[in-house]
Amino acid sequence: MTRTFKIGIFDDEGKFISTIRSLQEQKFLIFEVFTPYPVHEVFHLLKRRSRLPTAAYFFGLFGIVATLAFLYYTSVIDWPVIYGGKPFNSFPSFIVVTIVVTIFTVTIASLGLFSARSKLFPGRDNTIFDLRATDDKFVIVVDTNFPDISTAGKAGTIMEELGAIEVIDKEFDNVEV
Amino acid sequence: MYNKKIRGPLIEGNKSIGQITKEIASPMDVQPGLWWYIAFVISSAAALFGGYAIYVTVSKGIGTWGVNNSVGWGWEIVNFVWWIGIGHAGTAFSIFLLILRQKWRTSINRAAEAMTVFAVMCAAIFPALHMGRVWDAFYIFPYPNTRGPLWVNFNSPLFWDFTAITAYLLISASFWYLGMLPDLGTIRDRTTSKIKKAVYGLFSMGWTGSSRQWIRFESLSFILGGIAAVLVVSVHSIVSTDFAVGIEPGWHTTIFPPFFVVGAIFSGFAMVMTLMVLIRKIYKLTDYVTDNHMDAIARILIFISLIMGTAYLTEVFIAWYSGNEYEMFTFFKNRITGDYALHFWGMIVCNALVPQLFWFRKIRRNWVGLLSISLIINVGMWLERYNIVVTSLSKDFLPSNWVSYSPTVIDIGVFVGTIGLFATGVLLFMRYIPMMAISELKSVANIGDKKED
Amino acid sequence: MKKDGKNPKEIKSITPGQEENGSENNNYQIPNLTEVGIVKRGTSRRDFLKVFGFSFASAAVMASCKRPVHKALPYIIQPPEITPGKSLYYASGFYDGHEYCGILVKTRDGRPIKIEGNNLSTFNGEGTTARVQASVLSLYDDARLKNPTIVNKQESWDTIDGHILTELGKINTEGGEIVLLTSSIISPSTIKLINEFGKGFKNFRWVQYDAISYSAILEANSACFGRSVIPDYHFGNVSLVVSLNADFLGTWLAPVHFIPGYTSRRRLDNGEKKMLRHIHYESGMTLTGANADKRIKIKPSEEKILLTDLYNKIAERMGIKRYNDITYKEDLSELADNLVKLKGRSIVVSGTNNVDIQIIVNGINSLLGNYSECIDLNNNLNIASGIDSKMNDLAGDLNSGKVRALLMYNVNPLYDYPDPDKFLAGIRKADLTVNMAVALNETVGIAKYECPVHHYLESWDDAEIIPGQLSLHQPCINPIFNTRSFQDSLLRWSRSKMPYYDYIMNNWEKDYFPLTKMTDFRSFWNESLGNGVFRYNVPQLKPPSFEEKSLLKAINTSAISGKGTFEVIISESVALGTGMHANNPWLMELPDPVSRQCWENVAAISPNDAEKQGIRTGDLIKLKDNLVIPAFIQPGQADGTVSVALGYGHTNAGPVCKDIGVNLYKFVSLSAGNREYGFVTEKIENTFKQSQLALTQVHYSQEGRPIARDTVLSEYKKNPSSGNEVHAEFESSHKTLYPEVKYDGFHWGLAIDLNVCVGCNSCVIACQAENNIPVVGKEEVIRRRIMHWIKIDRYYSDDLNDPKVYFQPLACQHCDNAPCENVCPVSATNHSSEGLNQMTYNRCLGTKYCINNCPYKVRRFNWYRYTNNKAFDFNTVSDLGKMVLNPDVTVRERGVVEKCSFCVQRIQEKKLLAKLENRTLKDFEIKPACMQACPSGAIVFGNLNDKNSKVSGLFGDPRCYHLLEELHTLPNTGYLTKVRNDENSNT
Repeated sequence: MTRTFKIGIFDDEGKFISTIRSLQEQKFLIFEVFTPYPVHEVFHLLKRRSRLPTAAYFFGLFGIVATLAFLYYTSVIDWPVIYGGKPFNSFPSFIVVTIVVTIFTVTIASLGLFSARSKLFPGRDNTIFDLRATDDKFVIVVDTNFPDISTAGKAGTIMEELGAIEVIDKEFDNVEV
Repeated sequence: MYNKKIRGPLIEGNKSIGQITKEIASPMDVQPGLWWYIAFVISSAAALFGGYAIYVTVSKGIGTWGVNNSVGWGWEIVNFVWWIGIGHAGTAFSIFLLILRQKWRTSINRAAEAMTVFAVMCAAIFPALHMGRVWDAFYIFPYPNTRGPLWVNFNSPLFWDFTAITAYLLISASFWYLGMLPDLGTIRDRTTSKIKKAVYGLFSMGWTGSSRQWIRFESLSFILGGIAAVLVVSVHSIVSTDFAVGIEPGWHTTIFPPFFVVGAIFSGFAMVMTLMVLIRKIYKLTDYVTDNHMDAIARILIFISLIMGTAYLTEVFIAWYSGNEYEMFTFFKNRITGDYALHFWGMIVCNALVPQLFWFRKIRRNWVGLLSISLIINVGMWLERYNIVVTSLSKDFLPSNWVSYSPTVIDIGVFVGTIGLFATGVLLFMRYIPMMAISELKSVANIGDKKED
Repeated sequence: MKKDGKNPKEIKSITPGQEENGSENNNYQIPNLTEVGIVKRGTSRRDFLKVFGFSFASAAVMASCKRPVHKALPYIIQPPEITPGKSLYYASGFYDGHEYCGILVKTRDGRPIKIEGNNLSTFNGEGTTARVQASVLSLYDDARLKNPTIVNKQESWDTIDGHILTELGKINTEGGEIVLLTSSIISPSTIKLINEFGKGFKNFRWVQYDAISYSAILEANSACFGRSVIPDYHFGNVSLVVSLNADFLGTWLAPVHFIPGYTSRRRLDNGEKKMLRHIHYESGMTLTGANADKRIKIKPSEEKILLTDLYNKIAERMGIKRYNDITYKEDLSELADNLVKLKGRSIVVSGTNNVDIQIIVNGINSLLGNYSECIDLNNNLNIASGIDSKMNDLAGDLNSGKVRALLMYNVNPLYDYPDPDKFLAGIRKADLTVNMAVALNETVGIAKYECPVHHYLESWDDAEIIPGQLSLHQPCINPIFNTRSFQDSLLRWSRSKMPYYDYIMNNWEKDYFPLTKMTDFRSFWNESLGNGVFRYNVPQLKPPSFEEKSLLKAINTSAISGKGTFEVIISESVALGTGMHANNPWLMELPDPVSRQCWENVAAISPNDAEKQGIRTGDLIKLKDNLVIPAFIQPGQADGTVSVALGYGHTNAGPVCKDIGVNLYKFVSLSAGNREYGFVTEKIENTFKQSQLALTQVHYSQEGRPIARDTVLSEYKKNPSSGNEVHAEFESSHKTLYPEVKYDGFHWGLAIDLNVCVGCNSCVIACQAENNIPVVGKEEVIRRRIMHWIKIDRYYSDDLNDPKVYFQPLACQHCDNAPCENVCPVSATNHSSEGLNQMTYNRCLGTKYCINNCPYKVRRFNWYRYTNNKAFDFNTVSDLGKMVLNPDVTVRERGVVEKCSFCVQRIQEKKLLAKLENRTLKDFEIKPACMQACPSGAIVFGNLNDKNSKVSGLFGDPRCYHLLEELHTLPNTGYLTKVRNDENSNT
């Protein structure tokens, strides 16, 4: 189904933020905003959170346990060999490998999770509401179907009042963000 | 106003955000100058020479190198450690400064990380090549095999080393790439040519700059930053265990891990400085990489150089203090004096003395000074590794085994080749990838004082 | 007297003709084959191919880890005594005209691969020398002569025999003189044969000629005692040895025979507190001088004065009239006192080939009554029988055209006769010239007829090295080339159809069988064949009286002319000997034990002279016109002297030795009655050209580290662990983080007694032969990449003008806490449950980390591919050369690390044997190649867990220590301190 959006484009971070605020007060549903660089206030306003750190923690836990288990299995159970008069389970010399492999696990796993959750992988093309968003413009996208189509115009005017250099209506069928 | 007293703005010239995009991305739009092509030809020629040297080594054998029954490791390992050291700058740079919330890193870390990736690639060539039977290199992977299964020796520093280098290469590469995503998106959106759009589109993986992407992006950068910081410290510590765990006099010492890490960062920052001096000269990016930046790096170098000097003294002192005759001989009869005195004193001068010139503001602010000193430091670091690897082996426990070591053309060829490879990489980087983290620059565009117009 | 795995019984069982089923029709009797080999070549070719083909296959397969496909020719009929994969040992003997040794030949699948000492041979016991060990490689030398030729054109034996017979007949009828020129012959059967051969002609002369002459001793003894013999020296009964320039442990006469006796009086591991004392006067630093308790430098020109003075001093003390009052510059009273004190228990020897000197030496010895127990004229050494003057006469007669026919066997006068041009001219004058040589040499191609002879491993022979001590030599492989033994040729040319094998048998039946109590000759024959040796008692005459007149004459003739500033000594080299085996790459790469330098000969000059002349090691110096040679600064060299080794500088003796070094024989002077090995020169000229020497050790000093530990006897008696005090200290300071690994079952260990090791290098070649160690060539040696698994380090004490010398064999120490094992990433080297530090070649990546982390630096790396690589065309390229490879040991691929394995293949073999026989291993049953080859028994291998084993005993000895023990590597190799005898009285 096709959806229409009202897109406000700002060139000033301050105006952009205040617009978001007032739109939220007016109970408009801000579909998504696009910025050339991370703007932390936006995260608060739009209640954006990431659980990546938690996930990473468990990846790390898994990494440590798995590595140590593997080392113990290979060098004590499966194929014990005497090296320089050391016992088979010479734990101190396992530590190094464990650290590195753990770090490695965490990195790869988190990257994977990241690309899955934020839908970023080669060939993926997410909907681009306005090209300039990656250059120097701040873009607010308002879903016009909420609260209902009639009020959509109002959102536009609010944005214009608060200093959008331009407000556009765009129609997209299947939106991907 | 307060910033002003301490240092000038991070980005000079009162840039608008759009301007930043334009200026940084411009090299990707226009054809490079003649200098670029000349440099490219030279560097790739060097790389080809290296390729030939590698071909000879692999087809004829390690015998084509200068190593012998007593000195089993020569230039190849020296170069390996040297490159790995350089490879530390990037990650160290972005990560430590990221953790320390040093905003001024933004205009440098991209180049630094790129450098890391190329340097580590160069470094990785040597361990592979110094194997007598490189075609059996896969033995080093601990995978279930039909030979028992026979696993590898997890006690071996060389295996630790292998794991560390592999991890480091992959992680720093992904860290670098991650940081590049938004900028690739930028290029994709501003380019007009169809091909470029397609290519950058593919590599930008559909980056839009939506708030959801940004928040995950940031938290991931911090995760990676956090653990990669551990990695940066551990990698070179592990490289140092190749020697510290060994039994040879001059190797078997506990100072090595920190000593190596600091040394690595030293050479790395020096190399960053070399590159940045050139880049800002060539691309007129002095507004982004300001004199303040160079000044900051120079100050760090002074500090590290002092640490290095202390480390050298400590080593010598401990050798004497331990009363171990083998250590004593290695340090006093084979480094400070003897066949390798030249290397030792060269190291001291280049690493501990020359950088002290950075105490003078004039030199910190003069690009020739910066360039030459940074190069001298890298020579010094190479000499340091030569000292460690060769002198210990050439005259160790049994005098009957004492020999002298000198490299062959092939040894030199491989080294030159890696330098060529590195240069080629950097040149391509300048040409096709935004040299600075555009998005991050934008975020700091307003920090510090704007010049009154 | 059983020998592990190859006691006489076992050997017998594999010797030909042993089988009950009539030995006559036994195809695999080697004698018959040899015979066939002479009569019908075809058959033998086929037989030969059977053996050869299989050997190729095994050699080739072993020669690579990658196992290429190679064709193997299976046996058509399985020979009863050959089991593929099982070694057969043939008792035999080595004699090359210069050196003798009783040996066992180890053959695999019909090809000899290793020479081992025959411990039934009382002459050398189980000991061998480097040259004997290496001789097996000469068998597979591509430079061997492959076919008989007439004027360098290949011909069949029959044609050649025809020609020679007619020409001999013609010359004989014309009464022309026929001369047979041979190296010294010690085979009774051959001597008999030669005499019979000679009887066939009116005018026949047999001249024996030694490249290195002992003529003076022979002549001196005939002058003094009326016997032209070389006495045997029983060092085992001696308390004091005074040697002048006699390198009896390295080159002089029969080191392999002297070393056991000498060392038996120096070992202290059996609680012995007395030692032989050895005083050595010499100019150049020789192996023997290096081992002496007291070494004094003299110039050759001073030797006679010294001896005369010494004689007078002794005579004085014995109350006998003294001769003229020549006195030596140093006071010899103390020496004379000691000699007199030890009357009858001392030996005075001189290595100088000068009759007068030898007569004075005899005088001294007979004064001291040494001719009873120490010097034995009855059981003399049949080493060298050549008389210099006879050879000189021959050269003259040849030129005067007096000699019509010249038959040469195993001689190379054009290389080692001092005046080769004269001799060549002479040869050209003779009508009939026949040359019988094994391999290519300078004399080959001059004679009209080339009749190549078998290698000694292909031929039947016998030898009587000492009267009453016979050995029987049997072939261990069919002739590889179209050759024929010298004796068979003689038989043909004396129109006899009999093969030499039968000749020997008849001879033994006639001469020696009666001396035994045995009833059946066949069993006597087989027993002697199996043992390889046979002894009978010769009448022991009482020591003859000394002829005073000769002495008077000798002393009064003027001393040797010592004019000129520099006296050059031309000496035999330990590695190459006469140079006969110079084309043997193993010997070429064997470093000289003292100079530690190989692949050429150098001029050793003293540090002082070098400094005066501004000469550095490696400078090319000119000693004489057309004698330019690299200088080598030799600590301990007498000032004003230069020593150069013989045996190098071949021009036409095969690819390996071509134009390597300088041939010094040309400079041996004929002036005196005897060949004088040396000359005087006015000055040494520095050409200021440099050449790099292939040195295998460049640093001489121990830097005050406790590496090769030594003490003196007086100290040792006070405190057995003197010189080794640090041992206890280190032991006490050992701490360990991990519990030490327990080795139940076996725990192998090796002990090396530095007091007994003389540094002869026999073990080095034995190891090379056993373990397929490649030869790398001069360039690689210069780059410090020699592959030897065991090397003998040589250290000097700090006074370079008069240094004490230390020898220390160094191989993998098999540490229980091996640093190398910890660092190998792919666990290619790790520890066996028997305490061996083992190396897995096909797992090795070649990171060389283990090499770096080995504090002993005993690991070797295959820098290049040494097999099938034209760049290293020594013995692992040609199929022929590969036949020497030991199938039990992998030939290493390029890029892998290798090292001493304690001969693990031998350990396994014996373990299996013991298991089959369901018994425990006996001590000394397992012998690594080095231990086995050692003539002095300095190396002992065994099980450390067995408290009664010899090696455990040695490990418990207060002299025992481990190399670099302070590193706590816990080596399984132990060294025993060297003890020098500083006491004149206590002997």
